[in-house]
Amino acid sequence: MIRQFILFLLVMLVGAGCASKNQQRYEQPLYEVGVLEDSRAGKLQIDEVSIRELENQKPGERPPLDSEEAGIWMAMDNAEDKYKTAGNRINNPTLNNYLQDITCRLAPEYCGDIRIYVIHKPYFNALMAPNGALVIWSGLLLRATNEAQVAAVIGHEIGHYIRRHSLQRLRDTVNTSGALVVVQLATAAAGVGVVGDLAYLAAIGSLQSYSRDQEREADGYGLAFMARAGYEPHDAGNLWKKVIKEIEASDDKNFSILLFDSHPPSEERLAALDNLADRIVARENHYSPKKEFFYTHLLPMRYGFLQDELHLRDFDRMEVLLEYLIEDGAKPGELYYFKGELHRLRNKEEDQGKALDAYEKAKEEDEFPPETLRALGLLYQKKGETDKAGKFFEEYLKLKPDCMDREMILHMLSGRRQ
Amino acid sequence: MKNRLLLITLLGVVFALTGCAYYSLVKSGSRIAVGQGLWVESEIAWSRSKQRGAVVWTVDGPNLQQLVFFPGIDDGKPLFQPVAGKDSKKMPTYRAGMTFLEVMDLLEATMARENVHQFEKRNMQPVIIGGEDGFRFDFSYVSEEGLDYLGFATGAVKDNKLYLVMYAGTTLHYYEKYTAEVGHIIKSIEFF
Repeated sequence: MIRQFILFLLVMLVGAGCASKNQQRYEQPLYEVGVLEDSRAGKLQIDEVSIRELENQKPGERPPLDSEEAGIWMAMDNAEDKYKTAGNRINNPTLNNYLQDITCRLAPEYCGDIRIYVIHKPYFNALMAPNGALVIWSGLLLRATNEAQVAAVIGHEIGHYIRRHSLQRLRDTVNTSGALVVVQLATAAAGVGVVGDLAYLAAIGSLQSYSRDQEREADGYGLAFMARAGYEPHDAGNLWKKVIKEIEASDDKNFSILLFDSHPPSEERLAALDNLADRIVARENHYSPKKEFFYTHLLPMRYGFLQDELHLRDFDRMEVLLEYLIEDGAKPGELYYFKGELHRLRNKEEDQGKALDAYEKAKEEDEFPPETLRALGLLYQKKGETDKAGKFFEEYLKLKPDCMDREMILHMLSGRRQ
Repeated sequence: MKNRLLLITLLGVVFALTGCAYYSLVKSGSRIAVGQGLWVESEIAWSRSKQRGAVVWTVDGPNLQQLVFFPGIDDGKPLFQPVAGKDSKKMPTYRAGMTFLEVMDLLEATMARENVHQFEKRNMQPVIIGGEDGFRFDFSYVSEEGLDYLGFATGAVKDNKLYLVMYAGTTLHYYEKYTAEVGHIIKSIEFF
C-alpha cells in the first residue's frame, strides 16, 4: 500500500515536472519578447530548457561558409529557386507585399531575412525552410478569417526559424542521403514539383514533423510576436479550433496527415494557447483581429481558392469550412454559391433540394457570382424543368455577357425553342 | 520456370513503379481504330501509348505535345482510371445525361487532379463530330514546373458514352507544330 502510494506520488511529481516544463516552453518566448513578465524572474534561465542547445538565429545571420549549416542553406537556396518558378506559385505582388508586411510587423528584426512564397494548394499548411524561405499554401489563407489568424501562423513559423528547428533533422538527412535529396524533399514538401502522393507526404513528414517541444516553443513565439504587433492573441487558438472541426468531418487522409504530422493540434496545445492569450489580454488589452486589409487583399482571391477546394471533393469537410466562413459573414453570396455547388456535385439524397436552397440564398445577397444562375439552369435542366432552366441560362448570359460558354448556351437555348 | 515468372513479375513491378509507357507506331496515312469506338485518319506518324485507360499520341514526347483520346467513357466512370494508392472515390465521374457544360466542368475537375495549374477555359462552341452534336473549347494551363501550355478539347456523346479528345502542347512551338494535323484527325473521326 505504501509502495503504491510512493509510486503514485512519483508519477504525480514527474507529471507535474513535465507539465511545468511544457508550460515553460510556451512561456519562455513571451518573456523574451517582453509580452509577459516572468513572475519567477531570475529563476527561469534560457539554458534550463533542454531543447535550447542551439543558439538563436540572429537577424541577418548566415552560417559561416565552411560550416555544415552552410551546406544545408545552399541546398535550401536551390529549392527556393524552384519555388520561384513553380507553376502553382501565386505570383501576386500585392498579396506577397501584404504577407511580407505582416511578417515585418511581427518580427521587424527578421524582416529582411524571411521571404514568402504563396503556393496554390488547397490544404492547410505552411513550411519554413532554415534559410528563411516561408511557403504558405492557399488552403491556409482560405481558412483564416482575419489578419490575426494569418499572423498566428507566420509568427509560429518565424519561431521555428529563429530556433533553427528544422536544422537537426536536415543535418541528419544531408549526412545520410546527400544535399540533392534535401532539395527534392524541400520542393516536394513545399507542394512544388510533386511526383506522387506518397513521395509528397513522406517529404512533409521528414521536413515538418517537429517535436512537440519545438511546437510549444514556436507557439510561444507566435503568440509573443502577435501580441507585440497588436494582434488579438486568441485568434491563434481560434484558427486551430476551426481546422480541427474540419478534420473531424473529413475522410481525406491527406488533410489530417498533413496537420498531425507537422503541427499536432493537441488538447494541451489549444489549452496553453488560450491560457496564454487570456494572460496577455488581462495585462493590457489593445488587441484587434485586423480585418480590413485582410478583406481587401484576400477576398478577391477566395473564389479561386474555393474552386480548388471543390475539386478535392471532400464534401463533408467542405461543408464545415463553408459553415464557419458563412458565420464570419464576408461575401455570403459567394459562399452560398459554393454551398450549392458542393450539394449539386455530391448528388446524394436531398442534395438537390439543398443545392437549390443554397443558390436561392446566394441570389438574395447583393453580390453573388453569375455562375449561380448557370448552376440553377443546370439543376432545373436535370429536374426536367427546361423552361425554368432556360430562364436561368438567359439571366446568366445577361449578367455575364462575355462568359466563355456563351455560344454553347445560346445553341442549347435555340435547340429548345425549335 | 519459377525464376522466369519472378523475373517477369519483378520487371512488371519496376515498369509500373517507374511509370514507363510502351509506345507503338501509328503509321502516316493510316486509318486506325482508337479504343472501342472511333476511327481516325492521320497524315503523319505518331507514337501511341495507353495511360490509365486513355490513348495518348505524341510526336516529340508527351511533355511537349500530346493528343489524348478518351474513347467511350461509360456512365459512372472517371476519365482516367484511378491510380492505386490515391482515393478513387474522389475522382470526378461522367454521368449519362450530363450537359456539355457539365462535361467541360468534369474535364476541368479531372485536370485539377493531374497536377495542372492555372487551368483556364475559353471560347466554348457547339460543333459536329463524326456526325454527332458535340462541343469544343480552348484552354491554357501551367505545368508543375512552370511551363506554359495551350490546348483544346472536343467531345460528343453517343449511345450514352462520352467520347473526348484533348490536344495540348507547350505554348512555345510544340502546340502549334501539329494543330493543323490534329484538326485533320478530328475532322476524320467516325464512330463505329
